[in-house]
Amino acid sequence: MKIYKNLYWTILAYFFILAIKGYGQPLPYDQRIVDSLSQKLPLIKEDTTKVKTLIWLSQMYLSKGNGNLVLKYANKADSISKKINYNIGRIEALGQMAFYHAMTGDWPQSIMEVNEAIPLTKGENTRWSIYLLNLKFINYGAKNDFKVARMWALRALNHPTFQTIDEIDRWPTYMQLGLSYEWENRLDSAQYYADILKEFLKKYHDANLKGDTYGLLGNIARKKKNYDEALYYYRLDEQNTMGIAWVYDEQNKADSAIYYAQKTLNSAQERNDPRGILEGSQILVRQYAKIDPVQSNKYLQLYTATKDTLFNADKMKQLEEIRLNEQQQRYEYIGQEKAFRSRMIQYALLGLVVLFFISALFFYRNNEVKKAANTELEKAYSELNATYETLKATQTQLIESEKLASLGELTAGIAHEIQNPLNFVNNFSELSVALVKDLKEELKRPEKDEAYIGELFDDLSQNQEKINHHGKRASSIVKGMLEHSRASTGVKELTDINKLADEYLRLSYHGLRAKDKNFNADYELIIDENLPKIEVIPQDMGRVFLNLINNAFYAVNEKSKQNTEGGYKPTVSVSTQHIDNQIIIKIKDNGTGMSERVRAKVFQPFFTTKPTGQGTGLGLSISYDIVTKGHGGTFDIKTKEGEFTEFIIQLPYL
Amino acid sequence: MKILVVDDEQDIKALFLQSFRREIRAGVFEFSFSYSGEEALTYLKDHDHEAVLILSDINMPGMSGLELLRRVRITTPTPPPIVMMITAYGDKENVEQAMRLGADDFLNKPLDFKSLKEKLTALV
Repeated sequence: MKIYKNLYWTILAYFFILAIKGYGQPLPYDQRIVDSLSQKLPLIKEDTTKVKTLIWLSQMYLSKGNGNLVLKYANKADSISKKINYNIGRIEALGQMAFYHAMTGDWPQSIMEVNEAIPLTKGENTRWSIYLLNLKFINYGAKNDFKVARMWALRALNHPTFQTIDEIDRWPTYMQLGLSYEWENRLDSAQYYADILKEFLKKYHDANLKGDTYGLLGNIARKKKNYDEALYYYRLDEQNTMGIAWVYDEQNKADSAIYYAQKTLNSAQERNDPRGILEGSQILVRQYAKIDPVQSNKYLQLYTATKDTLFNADKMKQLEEIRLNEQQQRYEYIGQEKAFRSRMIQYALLGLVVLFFISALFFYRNNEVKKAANTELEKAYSELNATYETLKATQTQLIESEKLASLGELTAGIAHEIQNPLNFVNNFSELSVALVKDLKEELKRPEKDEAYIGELFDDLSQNQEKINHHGKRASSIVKGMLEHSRASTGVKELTDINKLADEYLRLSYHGLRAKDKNFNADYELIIDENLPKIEVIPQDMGRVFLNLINNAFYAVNEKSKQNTEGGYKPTVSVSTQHIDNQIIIKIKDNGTGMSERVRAKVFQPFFTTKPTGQGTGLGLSISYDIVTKGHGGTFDIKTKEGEFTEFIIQLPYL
Repeated sequence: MKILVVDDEQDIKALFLQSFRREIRAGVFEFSFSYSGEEALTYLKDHDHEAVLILSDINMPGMSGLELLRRVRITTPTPPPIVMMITAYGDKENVEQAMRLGADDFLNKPLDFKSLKEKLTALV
């Protein structure tokens, strides 16, 4: 009796879960869906769609508890599926029927349907493979055949499909294993599965999972006689008045036991649930026996009648036959498997021999192919090498042409820059000749104006200095031009960055002025007077300055052209400073600025925003390499589209 | 006669002062110097009607000589100052533009102070 007591409750709980879950596809009953599906049904031509619709309808009625319609639609789905060899349809239809029969206590029918469905799942990756095994557990569990029931649960656990179904769909199998151990009072094993279920509880908020897990934990605690803990768990499981009744029954607390057993019985009668009736009435029989024999007798009659409907002899016999059949099938299966294995070994050996010959052939052919491929590869490699050499030569040429292009931009500037000092040399030397003449005349005069003579001498001396200064200025420009056009020596020299910046700022400005008469811009050089000389390759650094300054002037000129209304003052400013062993050179313009897209690409070779023919697109990329690779410096850009661009070069010095 | 010389090359001052030493001493000419177009405009604003003649280079950073000329022609009152432009050799384009803007005369670089002196003396 005791065993029955536990069993009934757990099965009841389990059926309850399954009923709610809709087993497979949880579809709560919805009249609108049912109406719509029923209307569409006659119009559906395609058979698999029709099967699916029928199964949906069957599930809907299962949720509503309308047995006739469940079976009607499932049967129809099964017969159509059979006709068109639609396995999944058959599996789901049979599963639906088996599930309904298990729910209503017709276990033999349920098992037969499950047995029909299981072979169909072979080769089909469907979660029904697991559900069908879970149904087997329920059917055998109902018959108290715990070991057989557990075997089915273990099969579900080890089924290849088990790992592929959603994690949430795995818990019923763990629950069945836990229950099967709990029924046999193997509480440690039961606890093991209960712990797994507790982990599920942390992850998933599922009322059924929660109720059932607390039910199992309550059972385990109760069996360990930890009644408080058991009550704690049963109370967490809201529907479990049965568990609470058991605790009080075992503790012989008659009033409470009767109260909860009565509650269980009432709700079971409402739901027409034979197991609940059996459970509730059993406790009431026992508890009333001591205090009210009449009542006890009344519940005994109820108990016996219910038990008969569930466990009549015919049904038990049928179940036994099915089980024997299954055993037989299993033996046959094992025999077939053995024969199959030995055949497989023979095939495997034969296969190995064939494989050996094929491999030999393959290796031979492969070798031939490889030889041919190697020749091809060598040819391709030498072509690639030639292309690479050509590319390298082209690149060198391009770098040279970029240099010439920037020099071309300079020519006019250079002419202007040389002309100006030469003019001064001419003017001051002519003046000096005149001064000497004046001096001679003044010295001849009897009354000499000493102050005037002094002034003339001062001017003469000053003029010599001016001539010298402007002469040097012209020669330094020529030198700079030569240096720029000469191939880089690659040798670092102690260089005055201020001077270099000044030279190129002027060259660039006058170059652009000469090229475009309408161009005008202001420029300023803000130098750090205490800037130390540093080791750089002067030709290379000059190219960097020239590129950046040319770009800056280009940007302000472009903005000038756009801004015809006036009010815009195009300005390029070059500044130098030194901070913490770093020389910082900033080249800023208030020109067109750069968009984010342009800024990201600006150091890429051949990228230019200038019209075709006006820029090689190599200036900044070469400048970048000179600063970073050639001088170990850094190169940054600050810019805002339409407002300004600032290039910041930092060069380290020791 | 007050003459304003505008050029970004500062040594121009020494050239003028020496070239016109006698005239300056004799008080015939008085020279002022500005080293940019902007500076020249400020000077003209501060010394209204003083400069009778402006001698300006064209090629200057910032405000160019041409822009200075354009502004002088717009802003300065009657009688307008005489404006002479100093141009680089062979700079036809600038000469034409300066003429359109109302320049009175042109001087080529390098400055020939002898002919300049003659021109200026003729104006006195």
